[in-house]
This record gives sequence, C-alpha cells and structure tokens, in this order.
Amino acid sequence: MTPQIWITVGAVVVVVATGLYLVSIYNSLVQLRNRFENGYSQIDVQLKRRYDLIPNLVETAKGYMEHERGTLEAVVGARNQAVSAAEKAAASPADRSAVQGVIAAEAALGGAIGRLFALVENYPDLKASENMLSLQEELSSTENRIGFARQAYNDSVMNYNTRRESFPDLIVANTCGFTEAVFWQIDEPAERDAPQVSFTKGPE
Amino acid sequence: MDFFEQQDIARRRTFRLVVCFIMAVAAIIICLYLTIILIFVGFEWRFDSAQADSPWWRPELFFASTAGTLALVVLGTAYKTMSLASGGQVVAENLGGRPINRSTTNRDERVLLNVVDEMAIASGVPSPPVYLLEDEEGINAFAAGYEIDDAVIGMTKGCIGWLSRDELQGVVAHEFSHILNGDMRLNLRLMGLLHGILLIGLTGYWFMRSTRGGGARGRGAAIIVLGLALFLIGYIGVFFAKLIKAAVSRQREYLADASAIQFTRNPEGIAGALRKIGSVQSGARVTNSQAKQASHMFFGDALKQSFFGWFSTHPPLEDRIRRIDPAFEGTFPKPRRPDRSHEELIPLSRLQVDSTGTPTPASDQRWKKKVPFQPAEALRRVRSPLSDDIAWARTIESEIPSSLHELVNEAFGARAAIYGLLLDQRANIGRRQLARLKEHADAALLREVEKHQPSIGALPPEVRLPLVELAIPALRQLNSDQYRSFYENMNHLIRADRKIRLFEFLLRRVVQNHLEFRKKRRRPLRSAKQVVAASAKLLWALAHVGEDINRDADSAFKRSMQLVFATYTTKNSRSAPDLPDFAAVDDALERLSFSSTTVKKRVLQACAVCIEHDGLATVEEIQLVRVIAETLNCPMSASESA
Repeated sequence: MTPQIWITVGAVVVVVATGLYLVSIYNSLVQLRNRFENGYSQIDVQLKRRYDLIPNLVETAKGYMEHERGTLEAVVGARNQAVSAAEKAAASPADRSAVQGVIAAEAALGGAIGRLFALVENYPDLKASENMLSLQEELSSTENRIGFARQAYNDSVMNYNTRRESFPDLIVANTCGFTEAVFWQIDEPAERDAPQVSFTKGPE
Repeated sequence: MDFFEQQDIARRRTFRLVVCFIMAVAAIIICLYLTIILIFVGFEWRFDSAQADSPWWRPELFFASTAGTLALVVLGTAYKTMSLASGGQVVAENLGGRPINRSTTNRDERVLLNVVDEMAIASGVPSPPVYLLEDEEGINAFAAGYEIDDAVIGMTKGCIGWLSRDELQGVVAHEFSHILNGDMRLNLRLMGLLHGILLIGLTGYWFMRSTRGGGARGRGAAIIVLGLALFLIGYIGVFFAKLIKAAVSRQREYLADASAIQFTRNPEGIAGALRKIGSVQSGARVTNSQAKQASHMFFGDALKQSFFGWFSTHPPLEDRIRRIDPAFEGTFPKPRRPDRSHEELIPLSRLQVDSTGTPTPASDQRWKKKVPFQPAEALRRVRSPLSDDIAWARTIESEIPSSLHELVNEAFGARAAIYGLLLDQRANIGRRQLARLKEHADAALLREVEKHQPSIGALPPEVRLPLVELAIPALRQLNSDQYRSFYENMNHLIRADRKIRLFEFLLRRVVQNHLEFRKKRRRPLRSAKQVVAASAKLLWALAHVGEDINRDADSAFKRSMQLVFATYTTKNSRSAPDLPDFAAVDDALERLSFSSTTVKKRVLQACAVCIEHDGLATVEEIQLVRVIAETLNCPMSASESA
C-alpha cells in the first residue's frame, strides 16, 4: 500500500463523515421546526375553542345587558377579526407577519372580553345564571390552555432559534432556508393585563 | 425558588440512590459468597484439611453464588412485576375509583376535567382518563399506569371538595410529573428487586426448616448454617433496600413538586394544596384497603407516618412546603372550602357554537364535534357537499324519538339500544341473536331490548349512527368487566350472519374509538410508502360505498390513491373484490393509525377526494369518513413529536 492510497482513503472518510454530520444537522433542524409548528397548532386548537364559546357568551349576555350593545358588538367584531387572522396564520406558521397578526388580534379580543366581564359584575342575575357560570369556567380554562400552549410553543421556538443560530448549524440553516421563528409575546402591558376572565375564584 | 435546579437535585439524588440500591445487591452477592466460603473452609478443614492451596478464592463457587443470587432476584422481580403491572385503569378501580364522564354537568367534576386538560397541554402528555374516589374524604390524588399511554389520574372526593382551582392545578401537575418522569415504572422495578432480595431470605428460612430434625450431622449442619446466613442476609438486605426505596420515592415527590411549579408557573397552587392537607382533619388519609399497596403513587402520604419517617414514601409535609415557600412557619391556618354555590355546569359541547357565529342548540354540536382538528382541514377541500352538515344534523336529532333519547342516557339502556340496533330484520338471524343475548346478557337488559325493538327498528338509516354516539357517554360508565362482556355480545350480534355490514362496521368503530384506549407503542410510520396497501384497502372500500357504478368507483379509487402516492399507477392496482371487506378496513385503519400525522392528513385528503368524486357525498360516505378521521386522530403533543 502506497501512501497515496492512505491519503485517498483518509480524504474519502473525512468527506463522508462531514456529509453525514451535515445531514444530521439538517434533520435535527427539521425536527425542531416541526416541533414548533406543532406547538403552534396546539395554540390554534385552543384559540378555536375560545372562538366557539364567544357567540354563546354574547348571546347569554344580550338578554341582560340591553344597554351595553357597544361592548357586545366590540367582542363580536374582535372575535371575527381574530378568526380570520388565525386562519391566515394556520396556513403558514413560519410566516412572521401572519403570526404577529394573530397575536395582535388575540390581544384585542382578550381586551374586549375583559371589558365585557368587568361589566357583568354590574348584573348580579346574569352573573349567577348557570349559562354564565359555565361559560366563565370554560373561558377561564381556555385562557389557561392558551397560556400553557403558548408556554410550550415559546419553549420550542427558543430551542429552534438557538439551534438555528449556533455554529455550525447556522451554515446549514442559512443555506437551506430555515427562517427565524417568532415568539408569542404580548408587548404592551395594558393588553397583557386585559384578558382577566376569571372571577370564578370566590372569596378563597 | 428555582424549580429547574430543584428538579436537577432530585434527579441527581435519585440516580445516586439507585446506584446505592444496585450496590446493595452486589454487597449481598459478596456476603453470600463469603458465607459459603466460610462454611466450606470450616467443614473441609474438619474433613479434608490437605486440600486446596488458597481456600479464599474459588471461581466456581463465586460464579455459582452470583448466579444463584441473581436468579433469585430476577425471579422475584419477574413475579412481583407481573402481579403489580396491571394498567392504570385496574389500579384505579381497585382503589374504588369511578371514571368521570367527559360530559358531566357536576361542577367539581367539570372543573377537574378542565384542569387535567390544561395540565396535559402544559406538560405535553396526552390527557389521561380521570377517576374519582367518591368514598375518600382525605385530600389526595394519584397517578397509576406504567406507560404514558395507559396512565390514569385519580382524585379523592376530599381533594376536589377542599381545593381551589389553582390548588387543584398544582396537584394535577404533580401527578403529571409522575407520569412524565416514569416514576411508576421506577417504583415497580425497585419493588421487584426488593421482592427478589426478600426471596433470598425466604430461601434461607426454607433451608433451615427442611433440615430441622434431620439426622445427618456434617452436611445437615452446613445446610442449617447456610440457611441461617441466607435468612439474615436476605432480611438485612430487605431492610436496607426498603430504606433506599423509600428515599427514592421521597426524592421523586420533591421532583414532582418542582415540576408542578414548572408546569403551572404558580408555586402558590401546590403550596396551598399541601397546606390544606396539613390543616384538614382527615389529612391525606385514604381509607381503601388497597391504599397500602399503592401508597407510593399518591400525592400525599396516604398512610400514617412510621419509624421517624425512614420508611415513608413521602417527605414530611412541612419540608415539602418549605422547599416551595421558604418563609413557611409550620402552622396551618384553619381551612376554608372554596365557594361552590352552584352545583351544576353546562358541558362544553353545549356551550360551543360553530365558527360561523350562529348559536346552535346543544344536540347539533355533538355531531360537529366529531370532526377532529386535522381532518377538519383535510375535509375543507370538500366544503361544498359538507357545508350543510349542521342543518342536517339538526334535523336528524329531532328524528330520534324522545323515548330513545332517554333510553341511551344511562348505561343500562345504552347497552340495550346498541343491541337493538344490531338485531337483524331477517327472522332466522334475529332469533339466533336473541338466543345469544338470552344466554350472555342480563334478563332485564333483554326485556329492555325487546321493549324498544319496534322503535329502534323503525329508525331511518341515517339516524342510527347518531343514536350510537348519543349512547357513548352512558357507555363510558361501564367498568372494564362490564365493557368486556358488552363488547363480546356486540361482536357476536355483528357476526351472527357471518358478514360485517357497513353500519355494523361503523358502530363497532365508534364504540371502540370512544371507549378503548389505543396503544401507540410502535414508532410512527413516517413514509407514505409504508401504508400503500392499507390506504388502498381503505380507499377501495370508500370508493365502493359511495359510487353506484363500478367504473366510477374505479376512477374514484385511482384518483384518490394518486393523491396519496403520486407514483401510484394502474399497474399496481390489483383486481379487488367487488364488495368492500370491512374486516380488511379495520386492519388497514389500525396500520394507518401508526403512521405520522402528515401521512394521515394525506390519506384523509384522499378520502375526501374519493367521496366527492361524483360531486355528491352521501350520508353513508360522510359517516364513514367521519369515523375514519376519528379513528386516525391522535392528538400530537410536544413530547410525542420528539
């Protein structure tokens, strides 16, 4: 065996090993991307759960709150906007602007619901009705679910982004079009406080 | 507190303890070997002192004693594992648990189910069935089952009565940590090893007894000494193994407390729950006689503390609280029950409204809810024929007589309704079916079937499946024995004419989908190629259910197959039988249910294309696709996609 053969064999081994390494990086990036996209769809499921509850909420409140038309209409409007934003984003979770659209619409919807619930306090009959109590439980549970799903989504986005930006993974990420994922954040403090739905907590 | 750090500490300590446990087993082996050597040296010195150059090292004896010990331990482990490793459901039922119906209207139960679902999202574990221990006034909860798939969560009545929503969340999160971290499995293994060590002691005891009164001096004495040594080693070993096991169990409790905070991001919840255990008179006590066996899986100490807590499976309450809230002073305030003025709540299905924004009455929702998330997207392609679903479902519900609505509201009548739906109109087969029921079902149940037979028989075909779905909540209340016998009867009725018709197939699938826990042991099949045959069977059946003319069915089949597998050509198509074979469809669905979500989505899209081929989707087709979608639906969670 001449030295040339050894060099060739060595070179081939290095090339193959590098190739395999790059492939494994690519695969793990794909896995992380799928995980955060799945995380997004989990949020989406919960958002839909809320959208489906709101018409009943408005319907229930309507009977008691004749004078609060504006608030009720605001809730319905916010819901419809959120529904269309969510549909747009569900089609492409990696699209930053679509996701941010949903985040904004959700914040607005949360605010509108919060205002409605604040008003409900003034109507004791409505507050004590079976329908309202049930809706409150389901809505506050939904609120929690959205929160937890968001937590899981943000965790997976963080994992993905960290991986995407670290060396040498970023070489693969940049050549193969792994774009940065968006955190689900609520920026304005006023909106963060808004979705206070739970007044089921009694004088605990 | 930093919950991640606490988790790391608990994990590290568990690891160390498990190493201790294994070292204890090694120590037992060495002790045993030394004893045997001593006995041999002792007796050989007396009889044959000229032999052996080095009496202390005898490989054959060493290997024999190692093999013997390991064999005993393995035997004991296997025995104990087999007797303990029943699924979570069985454990929960033995403890006196009753499964909570998903459509319950009881306020406490609704809140509990919601909390469990929330924590399922937070922890990334699929939401398990929930059991209620109605006779227990103490505040306690447990998680049982050795795989994530067959885990269940149980709660005592005291728990849901005393705890606020936040506290309940903390307790449920704690149980989810046990499920996620595989604590039940770890505990089972340790218990098995413990039993193996116990077996060494028992063997020694047996040795001593078997030679008692025996005449032979030398050999008999040696066996008695050996027996005594085994007995002592075994029982001392058990003592230490129990100590270690209890210590492991306590570390897992700390871990679960810390994870509960990770999941809920609210230390007040779990701390409050622990404080309430300390302040309520019945504490965490569980009175069921099986509680001792299961003490390690509870949230709080189900038994009285013993031996300065050395052997207790849970750390002292004060320590647990102090780890969460370092400012805790050790005093428990007088507890207050949360305000639960209103007992009943309306279940979600009756509160939700379809996405178009028009409120619809409760009954319609039940139908709509059956379309799960991902398939809904697949079915969007066939929006036009399906858009009237809701209106259609509404008329269907009203066509079911109210007497039948009432019948299927409780478990007894629900079974009668299912049997009734399966009775054949042909006299000879119907007679055979009734004979089967007479033999294997309750007489009162049979009377109920016969009483309602006329009205069930008169139902138009499209409302028969909706009636089955109405019966599902009541059927959920069957315990596992009742369900087994119900399932066998149902299968016999279906097979009475040696054929499976479409309706029978759908009925059985709906029942199985809702009432059986499906295993997901296998790794998902990620490539569509792996399910070509299964998809072909499924789509073939689907094509032939809807299209009257065979030629249409063929092209529907081909078109939809090409959607799943772009490369699918007629060359591959086999000469299939004219009629769909539903037993084969069942097999195909099982295989498809192992595939990844992406593959499932594509198959469901193909189903949609297949039924809209002639521009019309019939009731049968929609029902079939619904049931297929339902069967394939498996909620993905973050941990599963890993």
